[in-house]
Amino acid sequence: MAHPSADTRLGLLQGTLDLLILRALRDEPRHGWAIGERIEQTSRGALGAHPGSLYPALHRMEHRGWVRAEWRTSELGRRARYYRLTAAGRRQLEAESDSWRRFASAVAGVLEEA
Amino acid sequence: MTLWTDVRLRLRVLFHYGRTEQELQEEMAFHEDMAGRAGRQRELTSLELAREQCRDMRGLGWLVEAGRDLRLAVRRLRRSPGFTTLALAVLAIGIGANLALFSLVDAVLLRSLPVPHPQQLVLLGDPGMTGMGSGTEDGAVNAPTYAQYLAIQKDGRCFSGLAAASSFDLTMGVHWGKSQDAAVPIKLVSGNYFAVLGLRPQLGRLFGTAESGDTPARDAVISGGYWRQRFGGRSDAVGKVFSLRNASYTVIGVAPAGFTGTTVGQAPAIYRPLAEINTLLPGRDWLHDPPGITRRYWLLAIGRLRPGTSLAEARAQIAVIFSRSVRAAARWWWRGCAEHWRRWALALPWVLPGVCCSAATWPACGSRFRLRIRSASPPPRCRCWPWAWWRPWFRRCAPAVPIPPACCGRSRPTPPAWARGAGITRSIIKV
Repeated sequence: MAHPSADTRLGLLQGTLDLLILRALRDEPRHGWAIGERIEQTSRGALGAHPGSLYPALHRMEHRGWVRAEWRTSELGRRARYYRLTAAGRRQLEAESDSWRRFASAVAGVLEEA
Repeated sequence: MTLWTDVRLRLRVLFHYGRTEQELQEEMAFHEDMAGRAGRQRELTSLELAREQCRDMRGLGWLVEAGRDLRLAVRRLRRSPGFTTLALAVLAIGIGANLALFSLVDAVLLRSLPVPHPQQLVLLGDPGMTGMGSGTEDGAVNAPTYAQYLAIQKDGRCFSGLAAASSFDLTMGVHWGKSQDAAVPIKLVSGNYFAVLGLRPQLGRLFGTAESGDTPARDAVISGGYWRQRFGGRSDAVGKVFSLRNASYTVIGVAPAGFTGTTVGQAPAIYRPLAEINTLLPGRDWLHDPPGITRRYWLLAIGRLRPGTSLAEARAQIAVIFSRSVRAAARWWWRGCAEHWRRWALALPWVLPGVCCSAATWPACGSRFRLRIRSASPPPRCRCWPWAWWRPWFRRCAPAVPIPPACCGRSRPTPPAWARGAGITRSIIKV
């Protein structure tokens, strides 16, 4: 799979990384690397999570109780830290998705008006 | 629930630091491995930053850092025993001096006289004065004369009672039958001294009307301390006769325990009536003011303000009574004493701990040590505040070392170019 260079990536808006991570974890538990990959895939390479911000965000969310971490063996046979969404995380995902949609539609409305 | 998760994870870091650290390393190593397989090595450079931020985020922050600082300080101290000895000596002296000072402050500022309602008491005269003043030409004096004391006792309606005591202790030899005490501090007090202070005797009775006036009875009250020392606390002390300068006196009672007079630093053993002074210190008339400006100002008068009387009213009344000869001032008893000591008492406890702290944390801030850290990792945030004090000094002493700006700020500065390279390990930092 071809990865876009940093130039074509979009910068993440403040606060959206949490939403992207929660969304990437909605269907199944993933490890940090897979979360980054998932975000890139689903955004068709437009968005990417830098490890420098991804891991601190994951740990922060773990402290807030949105995700829970556990050690499992990865597909390559190596131990990896998998993150799983908790009930609180699911609620947070819904709330953040909702507010993001409203925000995006509001911005779109403003742009079309102009 | 969220809070509990947070606390649980942080406690885990605290008690299983090694394990959590290993897990963090393993997680990062896994990412490194995956990035290597995907051929995306450029991502590796930010892993060190991620590691640092994860540590910052999940740790017990200050507690873990403090522990690390402590271990470092111990290592540094062990390495320079001379400095350690010096620092310990400074600390010991500092703590000792503070303790000594506190006991003084406690006596002067915090503890009040062991008498009922000490807040009603005022002192006429300079509490620091001991001895005899002769006044100045402008009429300023630091203690009243006996005649002035009598005048203010007669006309001062602001006081419910006014007592007086000599500002000095007479130290004299006392004969108890055949045995002798060589130097006993004797305080001369007015007949109403104990009554005005509201004290009750431990034994016998205290001074009354018989001990007032110009020709008092030859009675004496002894202090609780002297009673225990001389008579072992026996009740037959009352009625004992002692001789002083060839005159004999009778003990009529024992002052309450814990009462050591009204002057800080003096602890009289025997109380005698005020008018005795002409017998004990013959040669001059202490009780009457001679004409002219030269008088013997030797008393400290203690008044108990009537309830509802303000200090200002009392001052005004006394000023009227003394307007001709004395600029009298009624002062709060302990506040007056405190004036002398306040400057020292308040400055020293603040200065010493500061010096001690600086000395104690100095080894963790050595310049050689900082040089090493800088070559190995991003500049550490300045965690110990004394280092912030010394920073200008470092700057002067080591101009070749660039000190990162905003080092003491809250946010971590972006690592400079030399720290962004891969392969940086924390293990180099160990000193």
